[in-house]
Amino acid sequence: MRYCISALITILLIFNVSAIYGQETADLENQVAKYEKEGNLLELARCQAKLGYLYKEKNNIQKSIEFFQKAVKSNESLGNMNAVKNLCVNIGLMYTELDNYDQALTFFKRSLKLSEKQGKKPDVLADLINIAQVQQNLKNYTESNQTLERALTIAQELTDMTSLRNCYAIESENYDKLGNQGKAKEYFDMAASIKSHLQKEELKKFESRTKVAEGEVSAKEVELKSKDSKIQKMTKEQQLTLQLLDQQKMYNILQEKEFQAKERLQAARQRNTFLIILSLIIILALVTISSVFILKQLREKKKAYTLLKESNQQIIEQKSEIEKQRDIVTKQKTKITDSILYAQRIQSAVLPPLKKIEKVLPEHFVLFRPRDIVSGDFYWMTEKEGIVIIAAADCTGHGVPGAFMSMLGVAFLNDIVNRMTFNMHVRSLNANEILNQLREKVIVSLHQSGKLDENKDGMDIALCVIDFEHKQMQFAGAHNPMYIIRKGELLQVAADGMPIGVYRTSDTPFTNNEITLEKDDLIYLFSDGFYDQLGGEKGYKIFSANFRKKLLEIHQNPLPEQKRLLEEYYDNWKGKYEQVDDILVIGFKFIPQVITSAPVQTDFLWENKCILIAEDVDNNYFLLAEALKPTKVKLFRAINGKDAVEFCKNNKIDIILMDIYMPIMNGLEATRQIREFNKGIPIIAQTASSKSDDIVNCKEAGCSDYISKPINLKTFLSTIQKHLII
Amino acid sequence: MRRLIIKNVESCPTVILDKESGKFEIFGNSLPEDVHTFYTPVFDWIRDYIKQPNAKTELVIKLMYFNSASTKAIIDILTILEELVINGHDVKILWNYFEIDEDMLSTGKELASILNIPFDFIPFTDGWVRLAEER
Repeated sequence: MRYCISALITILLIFNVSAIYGQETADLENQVAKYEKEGNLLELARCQAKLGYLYKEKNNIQKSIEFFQKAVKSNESLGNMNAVKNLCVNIGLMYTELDNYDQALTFFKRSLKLSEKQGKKPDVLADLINIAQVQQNLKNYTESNQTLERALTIAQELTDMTSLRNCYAIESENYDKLGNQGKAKEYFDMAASIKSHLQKEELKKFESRTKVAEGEVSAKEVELKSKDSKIQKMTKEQQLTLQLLDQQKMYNILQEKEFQAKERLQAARQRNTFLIILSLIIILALVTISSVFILKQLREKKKAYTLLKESNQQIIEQKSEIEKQRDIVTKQKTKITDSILYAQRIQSAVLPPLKKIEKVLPEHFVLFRPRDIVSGDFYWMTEKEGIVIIAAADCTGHGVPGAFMSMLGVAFLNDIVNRMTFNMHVRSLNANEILNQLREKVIVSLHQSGKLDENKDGMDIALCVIDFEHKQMQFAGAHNPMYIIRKGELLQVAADGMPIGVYRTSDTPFTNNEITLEKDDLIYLFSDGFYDQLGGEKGYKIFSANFRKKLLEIHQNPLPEQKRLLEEYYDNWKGKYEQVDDILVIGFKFIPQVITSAPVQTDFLWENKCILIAEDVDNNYFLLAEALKPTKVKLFRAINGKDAVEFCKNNKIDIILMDIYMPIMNGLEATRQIREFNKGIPIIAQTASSKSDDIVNCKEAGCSDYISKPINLKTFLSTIQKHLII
Repeated sequence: MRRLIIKNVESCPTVILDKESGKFEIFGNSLPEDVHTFYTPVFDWIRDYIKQPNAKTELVIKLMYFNSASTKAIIDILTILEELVINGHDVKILWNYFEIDEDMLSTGKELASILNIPFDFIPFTDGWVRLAEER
């Protein structure tokens, strides 16, 4: 059907074109008559055909057929079979238009015969298809199919896909009408597949040539217009009309192609649009996602930036705070250091002045180097009646805590020695007793009970008491020993393995070591700070062995030089290391001498006097005798009351020192008996301080005065003095 | 119980007290500025330990230098351990001293004499510094 329709359209178009140029049917009919008369068949045929087309255009089908048939006759006469054939097709189509299928079939068949005669296969094919279509219209389906089978063969031969598809399409309809649904479907599918194949083919071509085709179309349009103008000039020429027909055909094809291309283009556009939309969606999605990310990052960055800003601010604040604190710390440090420096002045003030040391120890050195301005190490020296007491001590800790302890140590030592010499003769001092008392004082004043975790501070000390006159030395040490170098040999006087302070063995008295000195003996007292210094190649301590070795090596030098050498040795050893502790080394040469510096009791000189001591206990007697020795008084002893009475009767004495409690005869009875024959002699009773009865009894018995035990040396001497002068 | 490990810093010794492995060691130098603060965790640990001690306790003391305040701290540590000895536990102090360091040996002997704990005196020759670093 489509084929027929397209053919009709073609014709209609041609009529349209013709119609543009006027209603010349009347003129043409006149011409026909004229040419008939003239016998001009050629022109007659042309005019007849033209009239056929014109009437067709006017929708006067009958008239159209009439003139077409006349034209056929004329052309037959002319032998122009080609024209005859075309006219037959036209007539056929007209009859189809009138639904006069029998007539249509007749003319189509005639055209077919002519086409077959001419051997024009494409025309044969066209005719066959027209016939088949008409046969279908006549409901001769089987015949139509037979016609189509012929057409198909030719279409396949010519590979005319369009015709092939038309054949299949009609055949499918035929089978459908025949009730053969299977075949109908089969041919329909074939038609469809060819259609789609055709479309694909076309698409391929036109996709690549769309623009070219469009260009062609427009070019053809331009061409057509120009051709139109030509046609205007050539309206009277049928040949040109035919030419135009060809052109129109081409135009038609092109238009179809254009239509398809446009469809394709549309599809492509749609596809493109889809693609574009899809792309847009994807892009949009990507943009959205990335913007979310970017926003998030931005937000994080912003956050981080804010944080950074905040922390920067904090840092700045902290910095200024730190700077403030640093200034405070610097100020405080200056303050503390100033304070410690001042404390150091106090500490050095309590240390024995060099002049004092020099006086008793002309050849000596003191190597004293505190680790931190003030020191836990200290040295102490005193001289009493030719007796020199010297000590080198090392308090627990160093720096300020050490210095606190050292002040305590100095105060305690002064107190202890002063009390001792106040109460007894300086020669009865014992080095170990000083340490015992020092320990006692430290424990009591620091409230040490020996419990775990409590304060166990104290000190290590080396102390010696030197009697220059008698070349005697006593040494007592708490952890710290003493070295004596004598004739190139080093003697070590060991210390007790316990400190001054609470300790497991703080009930045990310190050992008193007595040494007889020789001239030029070198004596060294020290703390452990020197030989415990870390350094050398491997960071070891100096060790006491090396210290001794060093002392032996340098001992022949003058003492100040020894000090220098020791310092040099120490500094070399220490190297880059820090000083770990306070350092104290005291060295002196023993030069026997009579020290006349402090004849303390010059007031008590009783050279020509005689004194009788009535005392049964030896120790008490010796103590008194020792105390009286410097007064150069003549001493006599009675071991009980009876003895005393006897001695008084037979000897001239200036004063009697009477103990109350004695065997055989007690002091009170003896006094009474002496008073019987000597009222004037001073009798001084020794009483137990707490017993007030004794004092009363003494007075009753006739004593001149009394002294309380334990005896205070100064009170004792001044009491005697008082009675001797009288 | 949790082990106590104090790594030696500057003037403080390394302390390893590990009940599980039976490792009890104090080594290095001991001259902290504030002895009490340094040794308090050690005291606390040992006090805890003696409540449930191992069958055998060997405390290695390997010190090159210690100040007199540290000596007192060590005596306190040993005093706590002494309780174990009194209660019949096997306790021993491995007192290591650098072979020429007679002062360290005599300090150890002094402690052995005043405390009721068996001491072993172990001289070491060299490499003390390296040893301390390696640990």
